[in-house]
Amino acid sequence: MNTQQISVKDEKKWVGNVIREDEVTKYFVDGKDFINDDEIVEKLAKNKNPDKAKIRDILQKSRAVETLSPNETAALLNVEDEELLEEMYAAASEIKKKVYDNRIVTFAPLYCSNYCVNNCLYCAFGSENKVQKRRRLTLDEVRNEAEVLAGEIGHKRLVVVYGEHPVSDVYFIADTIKAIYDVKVRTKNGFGQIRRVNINAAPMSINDLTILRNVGVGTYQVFQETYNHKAYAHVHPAGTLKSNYRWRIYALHRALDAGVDDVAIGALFGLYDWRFEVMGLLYHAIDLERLFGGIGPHTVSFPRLEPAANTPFTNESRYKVSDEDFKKLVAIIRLSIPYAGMIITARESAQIRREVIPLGCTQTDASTRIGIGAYSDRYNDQEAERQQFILGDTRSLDEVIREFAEMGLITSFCTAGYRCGRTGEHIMKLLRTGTEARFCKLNAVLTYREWLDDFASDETKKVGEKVIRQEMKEIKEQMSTVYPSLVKYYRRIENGERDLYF
Amino acid sequence: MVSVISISRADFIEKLNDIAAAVEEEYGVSLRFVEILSRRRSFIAGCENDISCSPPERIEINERFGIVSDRWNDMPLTVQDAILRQLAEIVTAYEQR
Repeated sequence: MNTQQISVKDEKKWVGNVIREDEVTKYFVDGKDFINDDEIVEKLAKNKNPDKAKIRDILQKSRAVETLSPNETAALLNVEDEELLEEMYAAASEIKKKVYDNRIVTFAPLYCSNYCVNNCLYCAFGSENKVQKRRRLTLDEVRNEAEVLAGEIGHKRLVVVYGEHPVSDVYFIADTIKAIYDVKVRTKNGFGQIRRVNINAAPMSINDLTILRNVGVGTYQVFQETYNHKAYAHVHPAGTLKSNYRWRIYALHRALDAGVDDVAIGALFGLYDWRFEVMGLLYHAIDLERLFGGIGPHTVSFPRLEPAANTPFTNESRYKVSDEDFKKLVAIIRLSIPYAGMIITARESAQIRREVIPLGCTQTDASTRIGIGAYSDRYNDQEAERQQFILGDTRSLDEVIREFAEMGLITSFCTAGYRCGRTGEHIMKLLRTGTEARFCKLNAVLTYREWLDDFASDETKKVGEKVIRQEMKEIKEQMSTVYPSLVKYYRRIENGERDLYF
Repeated sequence: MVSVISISRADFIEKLNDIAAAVEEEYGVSLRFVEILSRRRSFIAGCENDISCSPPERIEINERFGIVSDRWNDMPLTVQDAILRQLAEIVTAYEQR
């Protein structure tokens, strides 16, 4: 649908047809959704002042990559003792390495449209925000963006973002996914492509999600924003599509029913008490696991509220999360849902990212631009009127990768899993047993080699080579039977072949 | 024309799991059955212990379904053909639903 063709009447009609009540109520237990606000508050109160032995037992359960119970997570959320907190941070870091090895995956967000029918108090895309410059990319513009991302920066994985609006309906989303997958551009020594397209889009019906599944969508992200029913109603004005809490909270259940078997949860920290939100994320994971044969969230996101143009709520909220509490919540998410990937974004400052990544994060973005068309327009200053919020870290991918290398981390561009059947219940088992970490290690080396050869500055390449040598040494020691295959692939990549993986 | 008896999703998965278990036992080769969705290969059934970490071999049963295996080419060609014929029949039966 063209942006010029939407009348107010058509927009209202579209909004009226989105929600399918039968695709909400089918998941209820005793007529209720899985978030019981009172129960969460009670558990947080009941588990105050946990003893050290109990916390250490919980950490052992996390180390076994088992999802914690709500009471266990509530106990972790009540830890104040510095020594215990340090133990929790150490355990979170250890578990991340066990499940995902020493790598961090990078991606870029790509905003395709900022038209939106909602009017959320915290978001600059709200329909009543008149300072926002509205734009929906054409498919050619989407391709241009992907060419810059894949051909000049070197990204292989995107999270494509769309406002909830008839101009960015499921057909547009499907077309953009196909357009991005079609892009293939020459690079210095090989070629660049976006190999995995994840999306962040509004809740949809099972029929619409089947359309996305059929075009090969990567992970489908829907963040609940806040799990507290009252807070949710406060920040999402009544009468808007997004005000329907239950339609949103079952979005990922519908995705799994439609066969999209990688789904991602998240909460916007700063809308309500952060402890409650961590509990909400856990309950969400538990309900997905319960209904879908153990399949929980592929990733968890935990963005903090950031300033946004003409959006005073972002500065006024009394639930803003301090840096200290942010560190705690990141570690507790890692401990509570130990198999899940965890995404920290460029919303956060470089300093906070440095501190928080070692606590369990597995993915991050860099060279990030969140204005519509911002990559191919090549503007570098942030423009609040075309962004959803203001970024905290605008460093280039090259700078970020160099810093990771200096921290001893290998940056991975791996997108292998979903292209060879490591999805759904299968990937869950591999993650829970620590097997996936072996694939992570191998594919990190191969994709890092590609990126260093095609995109790295001399300075970054120099530190990157050290990281590769260390990783190769570890693989030779720990995975001696696979090592010869890795070396063969590695040599082929050095000779200009691309996209070889385990 | 050969008549094909249709099978349910549960039967489809069970048959695929049976084949994967038999091949693993006989040849030590792991098979994962997937649905092909553009670039995505979504897991349906089969071996879940990818401990060999070998480079994946991707074989198409038809446009919609495929296999990902660690050592498919280690099996004799006659065995590969026999497995693919059996799988094609199962897939056809499932698609007749």
